[in-house]
Amino acid sequence: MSNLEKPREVMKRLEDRLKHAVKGRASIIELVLVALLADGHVLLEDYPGSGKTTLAKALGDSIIDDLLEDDIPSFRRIQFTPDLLPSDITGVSIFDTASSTFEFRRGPVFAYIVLGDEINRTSPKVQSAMLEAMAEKQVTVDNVSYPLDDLFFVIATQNPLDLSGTYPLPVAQLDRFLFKIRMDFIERDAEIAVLNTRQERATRSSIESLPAVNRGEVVEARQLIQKEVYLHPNINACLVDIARAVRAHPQVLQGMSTRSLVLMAPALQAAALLRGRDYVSDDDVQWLAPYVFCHRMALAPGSGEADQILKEAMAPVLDKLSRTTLRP
Amino acid sequence: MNERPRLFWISLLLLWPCLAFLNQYLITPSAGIPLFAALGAGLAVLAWYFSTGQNFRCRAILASLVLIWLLGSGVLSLLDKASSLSLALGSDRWVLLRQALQAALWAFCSVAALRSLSWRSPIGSVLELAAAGGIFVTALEAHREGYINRPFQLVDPLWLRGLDPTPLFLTIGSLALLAVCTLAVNRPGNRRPWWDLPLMMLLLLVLYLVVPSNQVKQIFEKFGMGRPGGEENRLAPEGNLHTPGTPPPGNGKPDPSKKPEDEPSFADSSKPKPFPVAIVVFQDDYEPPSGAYYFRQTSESQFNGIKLVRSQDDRFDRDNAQSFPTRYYEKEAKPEELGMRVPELSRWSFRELSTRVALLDQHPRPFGLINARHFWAVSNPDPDRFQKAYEVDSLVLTGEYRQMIPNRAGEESWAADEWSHYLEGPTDRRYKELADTIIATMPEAGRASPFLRAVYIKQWLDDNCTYSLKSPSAKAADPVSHYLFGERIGYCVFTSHSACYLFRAAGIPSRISDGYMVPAQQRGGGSSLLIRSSDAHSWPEIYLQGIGWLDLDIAPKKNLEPEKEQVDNNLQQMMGDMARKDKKDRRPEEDRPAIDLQKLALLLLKTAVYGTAGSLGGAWILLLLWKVWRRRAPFWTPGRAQARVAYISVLDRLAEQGVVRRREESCEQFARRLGEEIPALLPLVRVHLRVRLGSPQAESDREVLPLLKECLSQLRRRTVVGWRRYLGWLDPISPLRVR
Repeated sequence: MSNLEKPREVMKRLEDRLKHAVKGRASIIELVLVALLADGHVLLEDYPGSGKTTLAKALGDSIIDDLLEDDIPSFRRIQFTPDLLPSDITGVSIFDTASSTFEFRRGPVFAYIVLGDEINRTSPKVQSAMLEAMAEKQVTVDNVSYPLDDLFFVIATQNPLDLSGTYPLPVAQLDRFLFKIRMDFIERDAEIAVLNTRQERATRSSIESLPAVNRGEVVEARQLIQKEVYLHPNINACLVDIARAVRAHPQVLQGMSTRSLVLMAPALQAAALLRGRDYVSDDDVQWLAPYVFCHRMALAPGSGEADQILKEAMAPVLDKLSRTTLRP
Repeated sequence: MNERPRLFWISLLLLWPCLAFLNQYLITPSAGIPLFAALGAGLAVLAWYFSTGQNFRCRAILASLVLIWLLGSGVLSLLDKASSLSLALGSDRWVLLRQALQAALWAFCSVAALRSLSWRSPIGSVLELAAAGGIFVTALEAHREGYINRPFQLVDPLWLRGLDPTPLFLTIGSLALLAVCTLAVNRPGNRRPWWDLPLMMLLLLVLYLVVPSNQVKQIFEKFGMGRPGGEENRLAPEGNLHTPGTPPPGNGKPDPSKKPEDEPSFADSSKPKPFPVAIVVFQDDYEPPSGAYYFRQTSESQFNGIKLVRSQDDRFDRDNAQSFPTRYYEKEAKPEELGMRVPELSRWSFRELSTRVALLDQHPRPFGLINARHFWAVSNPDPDRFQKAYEVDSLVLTGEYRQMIPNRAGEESWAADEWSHYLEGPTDRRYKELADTIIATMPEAGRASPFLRAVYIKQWLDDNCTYSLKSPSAKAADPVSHYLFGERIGYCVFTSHSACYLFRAAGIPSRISDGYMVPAQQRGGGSSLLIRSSDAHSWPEIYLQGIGWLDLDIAPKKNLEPEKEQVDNNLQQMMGDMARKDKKDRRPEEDRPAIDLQKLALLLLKTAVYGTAGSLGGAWILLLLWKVWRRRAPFWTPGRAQARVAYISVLDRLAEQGVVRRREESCEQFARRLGEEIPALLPLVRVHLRVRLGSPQAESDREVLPLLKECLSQLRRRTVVGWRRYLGWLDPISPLRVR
């Protein structure tokens, strides 16, 4: 447990800062933190003005760049539009007349935290450039690959309602996102709190008083979590059983991939740590499974909600696991 | 299915061999065979354990077990035929070894089949439990309603001290139920359907109801697991002397009228352990001049070319009762009602003696102290203990033997065919020659007396025969001549036949009678005489005018058999006292009116109601004990298991209060749901899960017992509405709801 003190402390600091900055979004903040520490990306399905930029910006602000020489900023925002070009996000090579060489100008993906706003509004070409960056953690311009930072973390958003003139992401591309999170309006009390604390949050003075974390600490925490949080073989078996049950469901055309199960493992470990445990329990599976699996399932036309189907498939498997723990 | 059971199989490794031992012990009390059966069962459990890691199909396992059974039986029967083996080991040892191997094979195959079925299907697990319970039930059933039966060793010591064995049986029964319940609750995997407990109870109940009608016994016998005390052991002279259905070897013309149930044959058989078959109460003191009491049941006088068989002609041997008496004592009653015709006897050589016989075991017809004149029904003094009871009026011999010297052989009134019936013997000339040789040694004066001639023949046989329960002549084509003109080693069937043929060769009408022979000293001055199965005997009789059929038994001087065990005199007297109790109000079974349907229905209803109530109550108490066990377990369970047991004990109490984890909830969600009332539950769950789901080296990071105590005190403060508040602990199935 002692090895995990540091990652937990990092997590705590981030959580405190984010919760201070964004009111009434505790569960989403937790999910974002889990994704950050599990080295995955997040797709928020959301309406404008729900605080996602604030969240992403607060996250970027909370991470102190301790690698000053690479001049990568902690936070960048890309607003996706239909006329955006791939080079607008990846960067472009420019001929430098002074040195007579092509010099690469980095695009906005070169940041620790990238907010991709309304990712479904841009053309598939730009989407795929963004998704390459997310999957490979590198950008290729003029046949030269430029690596992105280890910490590279994307929070993308899309509006679930206003779909005219959009290019919806296909399931294969949604697979790049670890979590797809559907947000709802926040609680009344939280909304009042947002209004009440508007002034002090605008000055950003109060958040500065909370301790931030270094980039290196986050990267180190990621590694430590994967190494130290114990993932019992029964949990793995449980994941596979859930996936098989979903695939066998009559209303499911395409179930989740094996890759999604592989991606799930670090997320579970991070979630376990967030809940203060050094082992993964079925509770973590239950918590994360809808966010990880639902957007990876293709349902038959006219069938119900994916999370309902997932719940049905998951309940007996997890119940069995819980019962097994009671046996000698 | 593929995960291996951990500790569970070790308990099976103990339980199944014990059950196999018990099962075989019921059939044979010799220690070797049950031990082999236990070994077979142990091997089966091991084999099952190593098969659990593999993905064998159930059908394949069953098929291979059948194959093993067939192969094993084949090999054993092949070895049977290979005579060199039985010669090398000695035939009796070989027979024992063969039975032991057979038992081991049977135990292996059946236990492996039950275990595999049980491991792979819920129905199979119920079957296994029912089989385990069935073994206990059959063990106890043997002693049902006070019968003395196998395994004797269970009750003998108690009986001998005059104690009631009921508490012992109750203890065994409770232990059995406990064992079966343990087996039931400890089953691994989640193949534990809700209906298995009721179904198991139902199966056991059915078994219990079926057992008295002997159906299970027959089923067991069919599959070679012969239950004890079967009909074949009853009244075969000198142990189990015949093999039913198989005529004596070399019998060229088997008698179609032959009844194998109660006729002696020459086939060898192992001697079963003696068990009590009847108690005889003497109404008067009597010491027989021959030194032994002879109780005659049937007689054989018809020569069939090889041996003597029971005559179908009703002119012969009708001094024995053909059926049980149905009438109470009545002066006018005639013995003819029982199919008896009694010869006239000279009264001064005999006196009347009444005896009461209470049968502990089933018999086809009554027997009585010779010479029985009449049988009377009496009410069964203790129907729980005795099968039947009757009284016999006998004319017992009081005169001295030398008074019989002048008596003539046979009856003058006999027709020629009657004479030839009682004188017909083998055509082999050697009998006549031997008889003549023996008579030639007599002094001239005595040769005219049939009695003296017979006595000389008897003495010659006494001097020259060897008594043994194993006879080399048993399998000969003509067993009697092989015996008499060979080594003369054999048992009562040989001696009685030899004597009878020699008597007939010497012109003395004779026959063989079967029944029981008990040495006179066994009575020990008391009025009761216990007859055991080992007292079954066959002896020759000669007919003297005025004396009737006189028993003239051969007592070989050389005896290869060990001394018989002495009957405990206290037991004998105690059982005699039981047999003497006369209940005047009760009519004999045969005189009972037709079954009263209403009463029967009422009885059935009563049995059903009381039985259900009793078994429900018993099950309830057992379940409560189980609950108590689960509650206290955290305080003595050490190490890693403690957290789990503690969590279960909290869950049990919550289930009593009507709170269980929902199916779609995880343990932690459940704990969080109860977080306000029982804040200590979540840490307890975490400790438990850390042991179960954390890394194998992980130790619980908090002390379990303080957490548990905190949980319990919070539980006590919890508000519970309704009856569960005070009566929840009485709910017997709350642990079954725990998930």
